[in-house]
Amino acid sequence: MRVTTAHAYDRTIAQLNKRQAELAAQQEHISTGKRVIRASDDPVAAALSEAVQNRMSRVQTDQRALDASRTSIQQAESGLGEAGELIQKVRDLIIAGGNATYGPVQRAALAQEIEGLREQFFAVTNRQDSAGRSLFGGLGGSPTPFVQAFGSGAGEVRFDGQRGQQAAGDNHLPQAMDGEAIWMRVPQGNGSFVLSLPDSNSGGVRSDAGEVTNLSAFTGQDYRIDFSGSPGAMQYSVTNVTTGLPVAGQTGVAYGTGATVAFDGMSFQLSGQPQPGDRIDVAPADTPTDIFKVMQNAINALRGGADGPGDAARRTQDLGRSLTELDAGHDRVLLARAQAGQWLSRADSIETMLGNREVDHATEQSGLEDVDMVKAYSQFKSMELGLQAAMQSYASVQKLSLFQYVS
Amino acid sequence: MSAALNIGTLALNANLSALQVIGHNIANANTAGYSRQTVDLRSAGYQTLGGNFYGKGVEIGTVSRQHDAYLTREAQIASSVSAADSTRLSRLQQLENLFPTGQAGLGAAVNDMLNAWSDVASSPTHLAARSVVLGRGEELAARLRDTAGQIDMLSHSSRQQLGDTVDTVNRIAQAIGLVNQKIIETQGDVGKPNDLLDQRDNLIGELSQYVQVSTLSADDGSLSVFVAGSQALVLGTQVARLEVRPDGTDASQPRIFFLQGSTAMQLPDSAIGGELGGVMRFIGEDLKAVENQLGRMALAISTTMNTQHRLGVDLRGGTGTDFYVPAPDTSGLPAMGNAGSGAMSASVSDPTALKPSDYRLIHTASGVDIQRLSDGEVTSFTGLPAELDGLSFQLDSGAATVGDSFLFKPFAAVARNMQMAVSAADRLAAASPVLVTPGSANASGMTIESLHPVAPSANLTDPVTLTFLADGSFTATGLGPDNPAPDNIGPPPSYNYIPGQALQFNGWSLTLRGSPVAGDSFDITAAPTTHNSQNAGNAVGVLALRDLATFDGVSLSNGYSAILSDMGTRVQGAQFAARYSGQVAESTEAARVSVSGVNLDEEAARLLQFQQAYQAAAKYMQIAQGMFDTLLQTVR
Repeated sequence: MRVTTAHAYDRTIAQLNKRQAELAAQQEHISTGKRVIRASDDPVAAALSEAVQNRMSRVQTDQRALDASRTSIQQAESGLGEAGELIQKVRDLIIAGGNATYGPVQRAALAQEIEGLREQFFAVTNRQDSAGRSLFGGLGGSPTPFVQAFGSGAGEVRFDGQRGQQAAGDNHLPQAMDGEAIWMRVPQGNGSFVLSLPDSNSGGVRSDAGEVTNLSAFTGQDYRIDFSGSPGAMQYSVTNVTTGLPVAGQTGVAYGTGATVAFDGMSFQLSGQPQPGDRIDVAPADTPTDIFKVMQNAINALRGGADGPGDAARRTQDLGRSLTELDAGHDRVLLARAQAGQWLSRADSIETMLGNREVDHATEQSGLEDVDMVKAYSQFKSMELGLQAAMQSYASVQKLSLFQYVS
Repeated sequence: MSAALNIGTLALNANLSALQVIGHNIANANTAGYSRQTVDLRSAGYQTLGGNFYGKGVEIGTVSRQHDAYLTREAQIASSVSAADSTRLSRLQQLENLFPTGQAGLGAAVNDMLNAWSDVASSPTHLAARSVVLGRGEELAARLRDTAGQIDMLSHSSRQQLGDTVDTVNRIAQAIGLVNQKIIETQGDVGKPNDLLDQRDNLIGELSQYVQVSTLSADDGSLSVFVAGSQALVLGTQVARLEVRPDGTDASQPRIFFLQGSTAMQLPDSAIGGELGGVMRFIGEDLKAVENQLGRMALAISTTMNTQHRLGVDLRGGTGTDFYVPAPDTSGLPAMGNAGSGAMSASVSDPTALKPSDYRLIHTASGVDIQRLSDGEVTSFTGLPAELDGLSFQLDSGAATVGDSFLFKPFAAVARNMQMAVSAADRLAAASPVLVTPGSANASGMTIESLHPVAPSANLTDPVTLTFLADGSFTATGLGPDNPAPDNIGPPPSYNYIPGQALQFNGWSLTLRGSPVAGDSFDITAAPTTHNSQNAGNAVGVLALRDLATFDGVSLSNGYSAILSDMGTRVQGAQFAARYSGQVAESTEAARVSVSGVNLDEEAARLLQFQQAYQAAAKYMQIAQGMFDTLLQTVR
């Protein structure tokens, strides 16, 4: 083929340009560290890497949400701890209130102290996290889920939140606990039935909290135990108020203090000296009470009544019942605290999982779009060498001309 | 004697002419389009003297240019193709720069906007988190607007390039006409006007860069030039014109028209070739496809976000409004020859079924045919409104007659007009309009993962009670129409329950966890309009949109990667095409030049050759003169 001079120059220049452009492109890949700078460098890798990037930002979002949840749950957990301590203090005061040597003044002081603790307790239940979200509001509802009612029903507390517990998902945690389940569902009495003394009792008879000994015989009906006879020779009869029939084998039973009464699957111990006409009511505990009411009942018991034997027995009876219910309430707090603890430990494992996932995504993305430095640099060197060789050969070829030899 | 002097003179003249041609070659060694010229020497004949034949010396035959018409033709076509490909590539590369990858890309903006709702879901009371959502929403809208604006600029400059190129084509055509004129005038019997021919070839070569042409030579030496196969741009000395005009139906689409006298004729885009063809292809194919993809992403995002946001409740207790300003319905562009008075429009009916394409609707005797222009598929409908690809086509007013056609560009203006509609943080509808309350006697520890609205429904806030049966399935009361049929016939009819799987009824989606106990119940009721600061149900609903299969099955959050890969494949294809046609153009040009080009070494050799011949002729003259002198002295 004929080589023509001008075209040979043009071609050489074009070749040098092309090599320089390749070198510049390679240099761009090395200096950015990216194999894929534009989508056209590798469309498939670019699209995959974009998807990985989206997953990564999702993981980061999940991590932030997890952090927020964890902070809230931690605060709820410490709130539950405080609530437990407050319940313990109230318990100590109720036990102190049972001291027979205390007069009305000391009891009023105790009542006032419990009232203070109850207010503290109330504040704990309405606590919010730093972002203003109620910690014990359940699924939502009012930002102050526990509301103190005034006027009629004073001392009652209403739950204004949204009942229900948010679930912990695969990679997220709830942000609030169900305060209704923790504090508003304390079982009454021993959880199955409640023993109470009417205001009309003048004697000193009272009972313990009792228990269900035979669940299949337990009826869940109302009963009354009437005392008759004369002091020293008292006897009692049990009547089923719901049916209006006397309970078989429980009519005219001789009473002595410390007697255990057992019928229809229930069993409880009586103590103290009744007067004829005294009565003990047995009612089923079908609706739960709440911990605020339990405390309020204790306060009312400490404040109410004179110092007669009937009043003292009723006070002891009421305080005993409050203690039982308070313990049941405390159990629920402990249960919730265990739940919170479990979530917190799950938060750690979710965080580890998310962290690992982020590393995986970063590795994947790097594999998709980052440049292999060693390979890229060696390619760069060989391109550089190629350009040098092209320049040198051009320089020596262009010296060749027949005109040099024509003189 | 005089014959000898005559031969010497002829030889001197002939070799001097040859040297002159060589000098011309050397002088034009670097002239573009110059063809090497050579002198054909031939014997000057003979004379008879005494029965013998004596040669009379040398004379000049012709001065001809070294030129191969076929190679020149091939080089011109190859350069046309190469110019088309490289012009399209450089335009595409500009377009590609508008679609960066990673954090700078639109995909990151989409995800940032959607992920920002996670903070609202974590702290619905936090106004700062709500403000971030507004900011991210505006950021996405601004980026979409900006990208659309950049595309507009690119489209504008491409159109300008079309105008400039057409001007150049017309100028070159004029020049070719003039050169034809000169060639006709100067065409001799023997010699050819080599430099004029070179000039014309050069002009045609230049023209080939801009538009693909074919040529036909005539007996008078003129050369006719045809564009788009058969339109005579130059016919002898007559010159026609090209012009850029807007398309009759879609004024935003430029077309190339061929003008001869008073008649104008539209050239098919695919037949133009050259730079002009490359730009036309970029505007008509690439830019449109990318614009449609971007528009579809914008339209799908704004429509799905608006639907979800309207389902929610804001901090003030009001029902959610549009999140982005909704895109107006697309008006159908009537074709020029429509006989009817009908006006048509298309609205989005399903944002997850959209295809990035324009549509042409033609009224037929049996209804309408709708053609998806991206792949040409035609779907027939018996009447209007017609639903295709998530769009609903309807007749707004007037009546259409058979044969009327309309062009729909549903995605052309969406990204450009993307605007936030919500501007106040407390107007962000993060709360769910429905709430779930577990039954107070629920024995199991079933917990609620989420409850959020998913679809507009008239029964959305109707009270519904789910009650679990002993076998773990549940019955539902209070369901409106359009709900799935129970899985088990019963009695009582019940639905199956799988922990962690969404239960969707009445337009809401409830996800429960834990194993149920017979008698467990959940009440779904309208949420109170007060106290929704703790309710982030709809924020969770927005987060669920991230995985909604929207773009041909690709999730909403991954929509951008589809654009990226399409863009990348387009550019890569154009790169391959440009590289290949560039190489072909280079090698055909090399073949042409190897015949026509000047090699200085060769000219140097020929210079010596003819110089020596000239010197020899001069010596011959000297000897002839010497002989003459000798003769004269002898006589004296």
